[in-house]
Amino acid sequence: MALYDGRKLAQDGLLDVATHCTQAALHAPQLTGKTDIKIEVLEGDELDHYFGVEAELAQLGIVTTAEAMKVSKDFGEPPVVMLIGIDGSVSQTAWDCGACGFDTCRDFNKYTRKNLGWGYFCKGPNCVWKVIDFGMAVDWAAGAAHNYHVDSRVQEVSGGLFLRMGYLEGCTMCIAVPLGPCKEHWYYAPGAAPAPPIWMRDMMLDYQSSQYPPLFLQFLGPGKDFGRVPVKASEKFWERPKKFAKVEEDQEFEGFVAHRYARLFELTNEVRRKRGLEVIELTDAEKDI
Amino acid sequence: MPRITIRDWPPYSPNDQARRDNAVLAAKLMMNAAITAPVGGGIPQIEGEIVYGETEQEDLARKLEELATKKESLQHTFQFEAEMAREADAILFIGNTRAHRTPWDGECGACGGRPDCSFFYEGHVHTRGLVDTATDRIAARESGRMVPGPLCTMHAHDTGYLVGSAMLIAVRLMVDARPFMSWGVAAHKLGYCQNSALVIGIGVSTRQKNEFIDVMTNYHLINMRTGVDAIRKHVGISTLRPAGGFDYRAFNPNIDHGI
Repeated sequence: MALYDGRKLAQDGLLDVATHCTQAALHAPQLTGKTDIKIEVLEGDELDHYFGVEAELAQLGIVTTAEAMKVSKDFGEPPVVMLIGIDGSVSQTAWDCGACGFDTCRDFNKYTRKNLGWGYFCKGPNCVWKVIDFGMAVDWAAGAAHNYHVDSRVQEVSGGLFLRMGYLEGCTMCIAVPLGPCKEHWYYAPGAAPAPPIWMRDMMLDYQSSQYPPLFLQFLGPGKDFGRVPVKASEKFWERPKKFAKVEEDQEFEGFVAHRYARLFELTNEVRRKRGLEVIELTDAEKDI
Repeated sequence: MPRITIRDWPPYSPNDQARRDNAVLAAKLMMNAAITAPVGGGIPQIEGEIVYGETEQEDLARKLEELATKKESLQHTFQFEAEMAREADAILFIGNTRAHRTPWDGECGACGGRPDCSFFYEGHVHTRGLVDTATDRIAARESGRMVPGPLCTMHAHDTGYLVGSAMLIAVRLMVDARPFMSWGVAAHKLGYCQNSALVIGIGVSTRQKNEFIDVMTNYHLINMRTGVDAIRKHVGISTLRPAGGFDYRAFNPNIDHGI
């Protein structure tokens, strides 16, 4: 008589769940009836490219939900990752609806033939109705995972990374759906993940005060601080020097962001080379010049 | 003790209405699922309306028939779907309130293939990223577009999650349901989901034959409604109740009278 370790059994079953999620995505209803849903499923070593890129980007300050995936890999329960994508650059509906910004589907198709380009996460333009069909497919995949009580999280940014690394080649949009680990709400409140460092508290408060200034403003009144907006930016905010809110350029930070993305594009091109694929030709703006 | 009798005929009878009430309940639960559906950033962006009743559904059908005349390639689709609008038990409209006015601003590239949101903003009247929806609305009406694009494609993608989740609940509740682009366009022109520019209509039906599939050619002319109407027309002029028949009190045609 066999004796199975429950956790290992649950982990080994994730690929089966991915199969059912794939079936659900392909079975999902469509508005157009013409959207070709593409799917790839990755597990084990195939995820090493992704973790390699993520590790380097994390050092540059890009922190995504991929961190939770890395943590689960580190304790021996890596997720199985479903990639779902479409090529939305061709409209086959002939609805001429205007949702894409073009008066006719013919105009749209003509434009994309010449101007198909990369944003940070996707290629575009895309036919809006195909994109909605794509959303329904991803939703049904996540719904299937929910039926099997397996945690999942729809990831657009990670999907974009996989697309740049050459997975789902030919697609313009890609969503990554990690399945597992088998824990409660892993991607929403990862209880087993390491506690965030103390400096994150101040960083989060800085973000919040710049995103919600009314919560942190002081009285500026005519003749007092009038002309600038004083912000309570520390615990003893009444001590001098005060801080003020201002909208201004920050070329140093912008340069750092450009460098970060250039590095990301370089890393994903390196992965494409390793996988024997053609690299993405980068524009001058995308290179670290 | 209360007694609820459910039948699907005649249409709109109290027993049939009891059946339709279940479809309305299903539509409400589908709306719940749409509201809780995962969307990028958890950004609230949904509104919905549930419409049912002979008058309201007939208004929708007639709007679809009117729109069918605008474009030859869509004519049969809109005409067929007009008939389905009549046959549905309830209709759930789901609107995305942000796709036309507060884009995701993530510079993803999905709308224009550019590493910024310029494709969206260049297509709308805005002040520092605040879209002037009133002007947009007028421009869309004047342009004759069905949908006032360009839309934020990320929010359009999120609409897929909203509709997908609603459809998942329909599957679990074992009601027939189908999403339609045409119903959403017509509904928006009728004034439903007024805060949205992207609207999808989902038909909900609880009959033994799914009302939204298996339609033959000329479905707008040959369907249950016109078929029943044809029977009603021919009762009086065919062998069912012909004028100038016989007096049934004096003559029983089932007996052989040796004539």
